[in-house]
Amino acid sequence: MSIVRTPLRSESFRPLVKRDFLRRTRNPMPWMVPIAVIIALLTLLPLGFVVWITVQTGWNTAIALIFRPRIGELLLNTVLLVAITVPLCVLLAIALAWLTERSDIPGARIWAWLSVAPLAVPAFVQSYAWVSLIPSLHGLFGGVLVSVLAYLPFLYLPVSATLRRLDPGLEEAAASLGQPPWQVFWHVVLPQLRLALCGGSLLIALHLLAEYGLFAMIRFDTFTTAIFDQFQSTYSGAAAHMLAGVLVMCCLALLAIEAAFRGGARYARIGSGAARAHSPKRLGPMTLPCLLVPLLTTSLALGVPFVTLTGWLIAGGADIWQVTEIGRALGQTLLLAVAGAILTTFAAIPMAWLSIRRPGRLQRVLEASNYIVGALPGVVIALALATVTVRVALTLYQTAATLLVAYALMFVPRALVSLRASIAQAPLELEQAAASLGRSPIQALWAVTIRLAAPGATAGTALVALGIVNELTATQMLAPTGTRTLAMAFWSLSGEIDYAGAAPYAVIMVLFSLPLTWLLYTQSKRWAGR
Amino acid sequence: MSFLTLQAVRKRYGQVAALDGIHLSVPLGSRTAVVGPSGSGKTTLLRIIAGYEVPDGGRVELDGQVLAEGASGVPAFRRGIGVVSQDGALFPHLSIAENIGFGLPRNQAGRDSQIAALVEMVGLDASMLQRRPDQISGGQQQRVALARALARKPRLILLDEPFSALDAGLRVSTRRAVADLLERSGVTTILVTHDQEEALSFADQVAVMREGRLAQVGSPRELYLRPLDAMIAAFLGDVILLPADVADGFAACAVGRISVDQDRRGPAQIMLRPEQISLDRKPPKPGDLRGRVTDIDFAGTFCTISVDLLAGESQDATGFLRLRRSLVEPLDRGDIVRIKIAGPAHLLDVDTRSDARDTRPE
Repeated sequence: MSIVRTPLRSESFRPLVKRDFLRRTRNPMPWMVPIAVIIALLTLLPLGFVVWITVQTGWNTAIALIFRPRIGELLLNTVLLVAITVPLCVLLAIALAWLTERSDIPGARIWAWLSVAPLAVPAFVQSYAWVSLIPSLHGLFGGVLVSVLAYLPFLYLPVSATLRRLDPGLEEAAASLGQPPWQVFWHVVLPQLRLALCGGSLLIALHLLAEYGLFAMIRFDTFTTAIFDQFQSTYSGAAAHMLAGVLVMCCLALLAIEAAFRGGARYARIGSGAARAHSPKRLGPMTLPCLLVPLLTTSLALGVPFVTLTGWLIAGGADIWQVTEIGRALGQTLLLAVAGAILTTFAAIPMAWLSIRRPGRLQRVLEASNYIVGALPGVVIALALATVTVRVALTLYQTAATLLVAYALMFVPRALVSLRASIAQAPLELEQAAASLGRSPIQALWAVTIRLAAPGATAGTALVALGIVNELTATQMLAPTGTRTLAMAFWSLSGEIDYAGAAPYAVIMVLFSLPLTWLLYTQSKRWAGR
Repeated sequence: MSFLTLQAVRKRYGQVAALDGIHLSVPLGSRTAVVGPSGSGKTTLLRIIAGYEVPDGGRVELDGQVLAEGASGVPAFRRGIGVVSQDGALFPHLSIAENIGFGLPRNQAGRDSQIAALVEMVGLDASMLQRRPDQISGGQQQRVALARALARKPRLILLDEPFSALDAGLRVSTRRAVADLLERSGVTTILVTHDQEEALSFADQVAVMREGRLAQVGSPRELYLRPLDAMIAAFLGDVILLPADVADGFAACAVGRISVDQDRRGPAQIMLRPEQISLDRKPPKPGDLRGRVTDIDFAGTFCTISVDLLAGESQDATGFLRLRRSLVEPLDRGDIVRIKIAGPAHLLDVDTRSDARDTRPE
């Protein structure tokens, strides 16, 4: 056999070349780097706070506060919650995704949309719907049930998008090698879903750790609810701080576990050209039993909130529409959401710009720190800001400014994702062309890059704003006295068992979340290339 | 003896008939190439044989076993047919060794040595076994895909344009290596390709596909020299088509009176392959066919020469030829050349499909 030359695969070298090229060009805006570093350090503030407060507390007190039965109880609750909810979500998401993407189930597109739609129902509204339907619902069972329903889309979205994108050629190849269908699924399809499963599971687990409203409503104690309760009774006692420390460790442990599961997996499609579309699997006589899966999930995740909300709206009649009060809450919420979103986007610009235009070691460090900050629960960030303002700058305590900073810290990772993607749309060559036409670097950035990145950046800002609309934990802990956002009003009314009075607020929050849900749904379709 | 038999296989996609009644018989141990322009249905045919698609009608039989009869059939994983697809379809999450061993039982004794033997057979280095598919070149990926398909000792191997993703030099060497290998292992093979040269050099039976039907099936030589119609003739290589008047085994046409390979009478279309025509600069004798070189498009080994045909002593062109060949003796524009035609011209069937423009001598 003749010796075949092995051509270098130029594609695999391109990113490297580009990086070198970028590093060699002169940085037109050197001040971007320190700004990005300062913002990154600021986002690390809550983490630094946890370390600092632990040192302040002293070793012995810390040990005494950490190693006590209460923490063990919370830890057990958290571990059980994550260990039961995440696998359930994985199984259900795979089943739903397979049915909607690969089978001839009737109404597949509708079921696909309905599987994403629960995203529009904030977790604590989902919880409220269930508690007002079954008042005795509580504890681990209730927590798992509501969590699965509320967070399932986080896994369904990536898994269904990946399933759609997988090259059917691989499955055909496996079949031609004598593998029966279930083995093909096990040995070929499932391994390729690994990245989607890892990412989605991590997202759900982090939400389980960070969520306050859902679990407080059904009286299931987690670290977050415990920190919140401690904060309300003692403001920022050492006990709350130690709880926050343990919670942060749990989040970091989740990141490590996910990284270990993910491994060095790279599942790039090797072949060239577009993958052939999948031909749907015939369910035949299994159609009816299979229909039960999406039917049951949808009626639990969407039917229950719909029925309870409608029920309370009818029961409450016109009395619950306190127009002035709802209007005031709506106005405050929108003001906070827009201001917070703009602040967040501006805070994210230097880092996003750096990661696209100046890739290198510094940018990788910033990215890693951002990855960790993204995993921090809102309750830890709020606790850190409350304590820092009380101890260092009392005038800032419980001001809108502090709250907006908290929002920025919480949502910078979210803003970064869309900003990075949209800055990548504006090639460096255009910025250079603008410079050669006499624009200063910042003018070029404004006239070219920002303009081109604007649509994506706006979408990212909207995502952040919608996140702030539904934010409860940090808002409760940091908002100036007298503030009453939609989420806060909903929370206090449902806390007083005025379920009917809370219903209008829930409806408005759901309506606000619908565009976001639609955006994520269409984005996942586009990502899959169809 | 027919090993694989297709009878009246049909397949529609909506309004389009991808396969419109395919009859094909493939002898044991032979190499068959299915060749046709893109969209002719050749890949659909292969996918039906592999069991990836279910035919709407017709029958597929392998070694006496019915694989598909109408909508019912044996699923792909029970057919024992190996497939090498266009991009190899290697599993990106498995190493090369795991890819090759994918179809072998996991606890089979001697599995590793079998994998090593397969790697050696397809001419790859054993050090490659631990690499990932994205760490080897396209040609190597195709060889791995072939080794993976051969591992299960399939009754039949289907090659779906396996060389088309490779660059030109690699394509020829990989094709030759694969052909040698399949020759030695004696596996019956079907190759699907849109590259006529590949089909002619690879196979001992070529089937030309057109709009869901097999237009002609035969040996490569037969198809090349005796195509049924102008489209097949043009598809398999450069061709000169001339309208002619045929009588008594001779055709009168723009290049004079030449013998034809069939006995027929009346107006017809004849076909010459460019290699049947020779040009030289010897002074033409009376009765010789003359031509004047009007253009030479130099492109290295092969040049395209345009020649005006001159009838008798006149200087007016009666037609022209365009020939691609290597220039042994230098020719210049304006040179008068002697044209000689060797062998009989092929008489095409009365072709209702051929375009009027194609009948003009070119």
